[in-house]
Amino acid sequence: MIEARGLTKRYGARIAVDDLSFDVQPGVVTGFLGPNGSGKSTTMRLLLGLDRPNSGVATFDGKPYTSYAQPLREVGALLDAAYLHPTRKARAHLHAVAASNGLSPGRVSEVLAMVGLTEVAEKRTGGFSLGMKQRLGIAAAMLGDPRTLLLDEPANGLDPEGVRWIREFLKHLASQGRTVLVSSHLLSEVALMADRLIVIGKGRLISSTTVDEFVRQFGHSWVRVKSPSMAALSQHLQAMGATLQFEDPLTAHVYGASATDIGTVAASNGMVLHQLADQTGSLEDAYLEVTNQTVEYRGAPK
Amino acid sequence: MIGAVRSEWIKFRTVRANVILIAITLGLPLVLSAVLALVANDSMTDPRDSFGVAVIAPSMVAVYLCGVLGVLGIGQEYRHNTIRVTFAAQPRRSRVLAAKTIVYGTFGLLVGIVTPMLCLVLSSIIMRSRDVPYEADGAALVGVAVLCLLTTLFGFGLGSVMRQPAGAIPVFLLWPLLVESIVGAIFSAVNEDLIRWLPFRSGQQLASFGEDSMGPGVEFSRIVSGVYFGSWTLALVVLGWWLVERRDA
Repeated sequence: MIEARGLTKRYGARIAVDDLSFDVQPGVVTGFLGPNGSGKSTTMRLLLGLDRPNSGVATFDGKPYTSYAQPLREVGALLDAAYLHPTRKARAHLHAVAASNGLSPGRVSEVLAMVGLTEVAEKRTGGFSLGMKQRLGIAAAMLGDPRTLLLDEPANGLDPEGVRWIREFLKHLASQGRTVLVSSHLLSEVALMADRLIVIGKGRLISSTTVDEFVRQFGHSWVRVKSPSMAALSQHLQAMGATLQFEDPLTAHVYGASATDIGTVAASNGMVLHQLADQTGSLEDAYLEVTNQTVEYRGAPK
Repeated sequence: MIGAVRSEWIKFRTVRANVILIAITLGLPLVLSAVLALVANDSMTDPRDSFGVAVIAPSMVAVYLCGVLGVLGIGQEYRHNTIRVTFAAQPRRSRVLAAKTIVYGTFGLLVGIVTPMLCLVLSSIIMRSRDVPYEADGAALVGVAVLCLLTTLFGFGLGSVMRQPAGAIPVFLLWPLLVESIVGAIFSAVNEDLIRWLPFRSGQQLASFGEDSMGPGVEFSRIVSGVYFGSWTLALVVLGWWLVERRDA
């Protein structure tokens, strides 16, 4: 389990992470979401003691990361696939990492096979594609067979098969009771693998909850109504306090009234309904809604 | 700690730039020594001068190249951001720095012992066959070994402070070769006694041979020079250590 309490990191006048607290539970994949520049990578580095926080603490199973003498047996991390020396061979890179934690060369061969890089193990990493570097980074994270995994944008550069592989791989690890935290700015990616979400914006916590609860909390719901008497029906609904958004003269999205209420009103006034359907906004709608105010960098509107 | 040393040793020998630099460090002094032994003539009145030209001078190339390796020992890690992988795998940074100090220091010391010995064997064979007067200076040989160790650690300390090798290597090479030459020339004009306080100039006294080039009393003795240059090295390593512990990786 990962516990972060009051993490704050400033770079000069800019606050990258602002009093951030959250828990990451074992047994599920937790998505760490936020727009570009929201502080996800900085938070990851703070968790691992690579950046020094101005205040706050983070612990893994109750102990700070820096207190572990051989942390790879407890926590595996992939921060950036590009953190490689380009003229060092893949196997040598893993050997060096493994040796620092007293892990055997045999384990290096195992993780290379696990990520499908055995055939290129003797190649220099400078010639690797981004996808191969990601796999090598995941292999390094898995060296110590850790109980906790921290992965920063692990699907970057992977082909569709690779994305599916990482998704299934992380779900499998979580099902073994491990703690898995996966950061991404791509909601579609996280939505397919995460059970819980930690959403941040401008370094602050926006939400820490399950995916379903997040959609319920931040997503919009409405009722799609289609009726040949829509004009008359809309007057009754507005009198009830509902608001309407028309797709066409006979079809409307009704906010602020349930399908039961709308059906009752229509029936009591003898109006025919061709459609009456509950609608729920997608995870993407909820995410965009909740992070809209915290996007650091935004393109000009077309 | 053994694991950290093993990890640093693997890193040391698996980067192409290091392998090339190690080959040059070990090979170039031998080539220079052979060439200088072949062109040396018997006009040198002091037989220790022949030794200095054919053994000590080529060995100084290895000394400075070891310093460059020392810079790269930590500078490459910052340049490619592998320092984050290193510190994520071993968050007790002092262990990593101690392991690097051991690996690079040992390498520097071994080069400082082996290079002048090989140059000595090679050049003595050539010079004796040419009847050039020749006399080895044991104190100078020990001095080269100590100087090579200190210079390697000096480079490592500088790399720890500056982090990026693109800046640290020019500083490391220009300090003795340009800055101390210019400052030394100014000191010579003002007060010759000041020259002994230039760190690299002083360090080179460890490997001095024959008559004092500046005349007696101007330079520190071999041992005092070693202590003085060693103090600079220690100060730089401690400063680098402190900064690495304190800064974000």
